[in-house]
Amino acid sequence: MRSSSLGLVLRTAILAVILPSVAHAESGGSSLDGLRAKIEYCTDCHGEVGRGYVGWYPMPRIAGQTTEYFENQLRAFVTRNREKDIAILMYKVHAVTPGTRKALAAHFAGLNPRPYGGGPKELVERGRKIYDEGVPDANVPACSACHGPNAEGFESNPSLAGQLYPYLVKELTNWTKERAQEAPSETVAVMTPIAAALTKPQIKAVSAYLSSLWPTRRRLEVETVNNSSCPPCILPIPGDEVVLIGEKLATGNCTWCHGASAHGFATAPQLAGQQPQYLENQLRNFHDHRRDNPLSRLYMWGAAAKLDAATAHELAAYLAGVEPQAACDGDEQLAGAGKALYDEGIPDANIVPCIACHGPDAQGVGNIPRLGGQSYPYLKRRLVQWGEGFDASAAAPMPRIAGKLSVDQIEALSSYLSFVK
Amino acid sequence: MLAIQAEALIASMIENVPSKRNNLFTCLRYWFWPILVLVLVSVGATVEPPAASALPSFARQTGQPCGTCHTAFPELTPYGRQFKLTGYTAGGTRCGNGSAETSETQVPLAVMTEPYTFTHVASKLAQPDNNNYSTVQQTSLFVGGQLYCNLGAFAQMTYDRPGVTFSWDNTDIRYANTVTIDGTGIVYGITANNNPTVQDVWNTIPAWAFPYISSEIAPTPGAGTMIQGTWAGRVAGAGAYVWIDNIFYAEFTAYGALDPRTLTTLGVDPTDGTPRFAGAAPYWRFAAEKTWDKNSLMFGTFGMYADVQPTGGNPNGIPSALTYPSNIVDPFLDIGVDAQYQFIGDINIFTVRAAYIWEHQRLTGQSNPNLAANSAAANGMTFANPNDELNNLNISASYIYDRTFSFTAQYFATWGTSDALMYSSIPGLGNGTFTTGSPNSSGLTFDLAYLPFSYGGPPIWPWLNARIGIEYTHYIKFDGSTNNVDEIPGLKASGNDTVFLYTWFAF
Repeated sequence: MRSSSLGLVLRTAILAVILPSVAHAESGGSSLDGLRAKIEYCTDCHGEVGRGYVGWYPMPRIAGQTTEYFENQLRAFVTRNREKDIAILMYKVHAVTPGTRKALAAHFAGLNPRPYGGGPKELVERGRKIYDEGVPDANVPACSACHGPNAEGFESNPSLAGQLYPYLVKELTNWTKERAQEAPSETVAVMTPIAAALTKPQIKAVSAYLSSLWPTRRRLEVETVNNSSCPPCILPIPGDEVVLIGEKLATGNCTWCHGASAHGFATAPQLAGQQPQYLENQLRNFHDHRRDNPLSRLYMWGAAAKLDAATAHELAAYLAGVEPQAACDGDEQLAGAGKALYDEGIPDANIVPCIACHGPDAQGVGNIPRLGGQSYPYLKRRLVQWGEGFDASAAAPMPRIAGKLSVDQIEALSSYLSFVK
Repeated sequence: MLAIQAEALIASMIENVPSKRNNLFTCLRYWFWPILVLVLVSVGATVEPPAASALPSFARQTGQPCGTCHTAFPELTPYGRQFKLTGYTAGGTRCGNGSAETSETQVPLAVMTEPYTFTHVASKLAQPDNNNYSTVQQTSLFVGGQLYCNLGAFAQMTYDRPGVTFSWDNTDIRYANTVTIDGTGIVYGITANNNPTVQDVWNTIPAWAFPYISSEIAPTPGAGTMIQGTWAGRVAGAGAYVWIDNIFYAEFTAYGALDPRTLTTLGVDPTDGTPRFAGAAPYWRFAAEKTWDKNSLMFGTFGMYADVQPTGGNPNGIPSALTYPSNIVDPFLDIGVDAQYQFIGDINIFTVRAAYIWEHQRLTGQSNPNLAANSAAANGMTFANPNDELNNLNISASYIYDRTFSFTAQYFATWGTSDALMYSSIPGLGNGTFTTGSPNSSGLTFDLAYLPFSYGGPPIWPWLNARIGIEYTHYIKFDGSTNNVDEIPGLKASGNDTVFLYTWFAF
């Protein structure tokens, strides 16, 4: 016990030393290359061109943000004055040099991609009224007074136009907890009573309105990746009937290869407890031959050839409800290093923490898969294959993120995840 | 009477070698088939095809290519084993409202044929009439796939050209279901089949072991354990099995011998000297398989017990009444151990298989209380020993490239107690071909096969599957001898060496 934990600590320490330095060397070269890599690192979490992304945590839109606010926030993360309670180590992942901070702020301020969308449209009008006029009865001033008539922000007052609906709702609802922390800045202090005064329906309405706005200057179309276009990716709770049909279908078809309890078998991954939206998306990808690694071609293209959307939905609903089981087949010695990589990423090597999208227990959300308990060889293979160019049309950031991982890092991550229950 | 019984019983251990020195058919040239093969191969090679499987009705049912279930057919992959264990029903649409597309019910029929084979036996001494011989071998019609819901079948009717017989062949009908207990997935099922080991899912034990196809013309060694096909098609068995957590397999099946009338109806000759057994013969099978990603490793054991009764048939071809001798039985016990390792990569596949069978034959002519004691002659069977043992070892390894080219090498050996009467050279005893009273045979087999349609057949019939191969068998020892084999002066064991060229299609 003692020796094994000592070994674990040692190997973790060695990896912790080696990984960043190796990656650092890779990301070296000119400072311009370094900056490009850092921009890519930002968008790995914050979405294409910084338009935001809904993972386990909603990642805010950073495109079009005012430079002053942008820099202030990066500083606030590092001094642990923002979102210090969530599982992502914000102070680590946002740590950049002052020069890089300035450059990133300038870069993203100039971008104006299509908003991520997904807010409830029926609330937009009501939200507009609140934004423009405030809620006088509750002593809530007009938002436009500080954030501007088009919600594009001004100096330290952030741009809100096109911001993600779930992000805005989360921030306004948890303002006191997440934002009004030690050493509050002036702007934070202004917002505290306003956020407190807004009711939940008012927060939703104003968030819906803001999420629908797209500033008119230099608009930038972003190629919409099919998989990532379903925010907020919440399926209706499946009815009993749907699950029952799904069960019949799954036990007659999927469990043949994926194991009697869908816990995975041979090269076939675990499907039990997988996110239903992800399962549906993948079935569509197999059907449309977008997921094209060799095993997918051999097994899943045929299996999904006749699947229609409704059937895929039923299958997904059933499989999502089956209790998952951790494969526990990774290398225990590497699990510590894998956890560190999962939770923290390697900021210096521009590798984002997986936790940001896949969640604290690697349970996934929406179209982002559960990774916890998946088998080691499957995880390893997928991560390697992305780097090799397979499944190139997969959910936006993964091929790029996986491509940055070394074999050692992939093995560490896969090992750790195989043990996550 | 006793002599007849003895002869008949001997045949229980001695596979018939019907074509060994028979007058063979006139040599026919089947130009049609070789040309067809070439055409199909070239079509298949130039067009990107849809999916096919070894048993094409399975492919039509599942939408899966052959390579899902087979490394190089008929060897099974873990998914092939799973498919069989779940009752051949996966992907089936014939099950009321639980199916994906109830309107689409595929017909579970397939045809398998060996349209052209060529056999060359090394020595003219072994095949004096013709040691180069080409023929159509068997053609089979299969019912394969889901019958209804959890009920599925693999049932084969075979027309055998060299033997000119039409008969039922390997048949396995099963009902299977899955259940999850405490998070552990369990497949359970029942099987009705006609050949002990035909229901098994590993390619180690007799019904599905290498070699997967053999010349029906060439001489083969005479001695074999009873579980090596003695009962194929002559028995009916019902059993139950469980497959727990994709790791543990346990099965118990009880067999009963079919009566001569039923055998005749099914196209099996009850008078060819093959014995039967009294009462129920238990068969058991346990295996543990660890499957991790592309690897699987299995260790198992299997066995069978039978109260063997000689038939009224006569191995020397003299027909006799179909009466079975009274209450005389000779208890036979077979116990086997086997192991298999498979690595199934995207391109490279590697398999190692091994099985060892130990057989104990108690030859004192036991009185069976379950049978009517209508004969006074309960003892005194004419064997040299009261107890004989027979062993069989079969080790083989395959390398398969891209599910298209397969190379297999095998070492096989049969050895056991010498019994001058059981393995006799005396005309009228045994089949009169053993020279030394020893059952020992051993040798090597090499098989090189081309499987052009593993990823799908030609567009006109995408479910076509084919295996075209050449198999070379070398005998180190044959029927107890290395020289003067089978009492033929000058015939060495290697004189029976056989080159066998085969074509094997399924559609």
